[in-house]
Amino acid sequence: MTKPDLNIDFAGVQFINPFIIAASPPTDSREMIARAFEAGWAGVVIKTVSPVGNYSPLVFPMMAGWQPGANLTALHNIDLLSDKLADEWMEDVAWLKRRFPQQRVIVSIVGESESDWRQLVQQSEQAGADMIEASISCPQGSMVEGESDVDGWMISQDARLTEKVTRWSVEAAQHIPVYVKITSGVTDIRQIARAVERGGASGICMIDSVEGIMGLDLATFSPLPSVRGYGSHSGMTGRAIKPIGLRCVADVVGTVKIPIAGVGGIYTWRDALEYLLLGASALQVCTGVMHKGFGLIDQLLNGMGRWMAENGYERPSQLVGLAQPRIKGVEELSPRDRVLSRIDLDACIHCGLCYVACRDGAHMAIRFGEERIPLVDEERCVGCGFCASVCPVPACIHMELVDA
Amino acid sequence: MRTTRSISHSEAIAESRRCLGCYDAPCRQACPAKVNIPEFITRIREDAIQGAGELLYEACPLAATCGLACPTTTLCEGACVLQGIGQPPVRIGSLQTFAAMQYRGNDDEVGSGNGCRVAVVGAGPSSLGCAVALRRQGHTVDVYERGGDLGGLVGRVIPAHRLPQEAVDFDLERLQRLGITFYFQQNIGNAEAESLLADYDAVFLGVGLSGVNELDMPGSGLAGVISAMDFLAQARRHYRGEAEKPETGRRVAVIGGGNVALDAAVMAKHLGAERVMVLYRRGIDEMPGWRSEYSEAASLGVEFRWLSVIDEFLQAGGRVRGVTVRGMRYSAGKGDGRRGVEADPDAPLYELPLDQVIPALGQSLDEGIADCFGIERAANGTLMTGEGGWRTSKPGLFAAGECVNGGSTIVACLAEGMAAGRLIHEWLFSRDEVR
Repeated sequence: MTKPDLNIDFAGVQFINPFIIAASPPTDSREMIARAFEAGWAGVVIKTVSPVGNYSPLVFPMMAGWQPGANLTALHNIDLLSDKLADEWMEDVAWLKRRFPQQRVIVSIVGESESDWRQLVQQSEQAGADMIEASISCPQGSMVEGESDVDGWMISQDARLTEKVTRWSVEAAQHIPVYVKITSGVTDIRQIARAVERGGASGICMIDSVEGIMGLDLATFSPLPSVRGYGSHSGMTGRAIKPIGLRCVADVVGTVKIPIAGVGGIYTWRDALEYLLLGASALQVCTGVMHKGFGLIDQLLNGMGRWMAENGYERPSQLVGLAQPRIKGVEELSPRDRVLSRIDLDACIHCGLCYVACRDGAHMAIRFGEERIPLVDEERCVGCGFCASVCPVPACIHMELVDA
Repeated sequence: MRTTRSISHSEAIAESRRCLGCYDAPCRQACPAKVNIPEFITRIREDAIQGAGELLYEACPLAATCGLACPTTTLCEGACVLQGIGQPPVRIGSLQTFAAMQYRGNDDEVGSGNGCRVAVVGAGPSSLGCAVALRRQGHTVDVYERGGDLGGLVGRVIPAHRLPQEAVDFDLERLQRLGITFYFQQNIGNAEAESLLADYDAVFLGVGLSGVNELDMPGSGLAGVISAMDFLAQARRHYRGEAEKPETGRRVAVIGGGNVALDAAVMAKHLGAERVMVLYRRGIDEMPGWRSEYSEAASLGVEFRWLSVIDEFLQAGGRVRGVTVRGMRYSAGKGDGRRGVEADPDAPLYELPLDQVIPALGQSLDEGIADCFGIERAANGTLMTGEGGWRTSKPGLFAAGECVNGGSTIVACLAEGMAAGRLIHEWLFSRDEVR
């Protein structure tokens, strides 16, 4: 087994591996980015910069965890942009490029006007940035001067405006590629993706955080995180949004020809492979890094490299989109197969969770008597798979295809 | 006072997340009081601690006490299915006391008075369980206790390092707000028994095992020989600031293999004994004391001499100065499922210098109580109850707890007392219907 080469190309830019840290708190300081590069990350997207810093002051606390702890399900934030001005950042971009020539520095930008967008692109290019990420998907909203009658409150919820802003940024760049980050919060993400492509962008990054309300503080009825008794819509990130990100990537891949950087809930090498197989050609990680630290890269590289070697793949680009043919409409899936739940009674700890789930949530197909042995009634079991979804013992229940 | 089962708020939340919430949960099945353990743990986890306390006190009126004093490793925690995937069981006892002692809920809802009066003799766990169950149905309940305290042995002999007074007091103070009348220093003789039977619609006996089995041999009355029950009771009073520190020798032997023996051995260590040796006539596998208590004692340096009995006391000037120890060996049993033991002629007698001997040979029914109520006793000396449990041979007279079961856990006695209370309630109504 030869060791796979994990190099990738994204929109004409070479990366030493597919893993890039998304625009986020970990990329809001030169010192932190330097540590990320030392840990082995292939690139960073600097936390979104604007000509004037934040349009409104940052408020605190700005984050709240859903099911906090080692298994944090999701992180919600009401963070905004980098508080550092674009001018300040440009010195750091140049410093990072000198210090880490092998690694890629991408500048995430947002403006309020055409001149803002153009100026930010030019400034970043002059400072030595490798790419531009046009951020038009921040759930805290981003608008454009003089524009009214737009859908939603993020630019990337409106196809016309998306194309317009994309074009401004692309036109301003002399030599470096511009790609655009979009939101999942639209009726049809393919229309937004097409607008990005029409605007001339070299790629698409998806998805941004998912707009939500984390929950309420029952003492004040304030959304969480609560700022003196009031809260706001927050951006949900982390494990919970991976299924949304995967679905968006899968939807867009066949629609546009430009490459996709997949982002949303990547914590493990498996998550990373899933994004690649569905069609992403580069990967961004945010909450996983915030939660587990820059050292997360070791597990990602090791797991991906090992899996690729074991399965005979030499480069990540070979994986891109391989899962696409496997996606069909539900109505196209084979209805003829007989599937049954199989419970490994040696592994079973007799908790009865499968029994309750099947009794009240499925087909009343598991018997569970005083001896606490779950027995599948093959006459009733339709093979739905709910029992396997609730079993607390790894690999105790699996669904088996049986002869019809 | 912290115990090994004390748990902080953050620990409790983390621990509560480990519970799988099993169907027909094995932990609940294993609980004599049938506490709905997954539900109270869910309430802890979901920040509804008062709801957890409400559930606990409904099922177990000595909830704080039982969380600390129950042999959880053989009851609820022993049944936890997490052990099937190599994980330690959920710390149910710790969570129970954690939730119980934060409960600030109102006292139990008491049904409207229904005109029935029930006398309860004794104030230990079974009596308290019975009294609570009856009171919840609206009966007038009068408790007659020989001593001056509620709780029977609960608050008297279990060492404070296992069961701190504040936990016991928390439970007992709740019980005292239920509208039950307690009469203390009540000795029940023939005349009193007769008038209770005449004055009340029903009488419940929860008198426990108040007779202390004594070493029946010369020398057992020497200075320096004190029963484990007396030793522990004095220690408990000492820790409550009500008594002097009990006299504790440098070299102490505890005689017996039950929990009281283990508690006495640990207490002697706590009170400064240099060497504590437990002499038990059988081996470790036959020891009735719980393994958790044995481990605790062993970890404190208590020494165990299995298959050992006292042959004779050695004395100097009326004080014990040691014993001679005889080795035993196993023999055919008496058909009760236990191996028998007999003196081992090959084991040499040896002298064991001591300055204190603490017999812990178990407790038995105070014989007078059966006689003055005129009820039958079983072959093992406990009160006889008939079909359906808790009915004695005399109509209207019920019994439960250790005076019937011959020795058990606090939670089992409490649960039995509650079951007896419910039976008495039904009996009173069926009797009235017949009238």
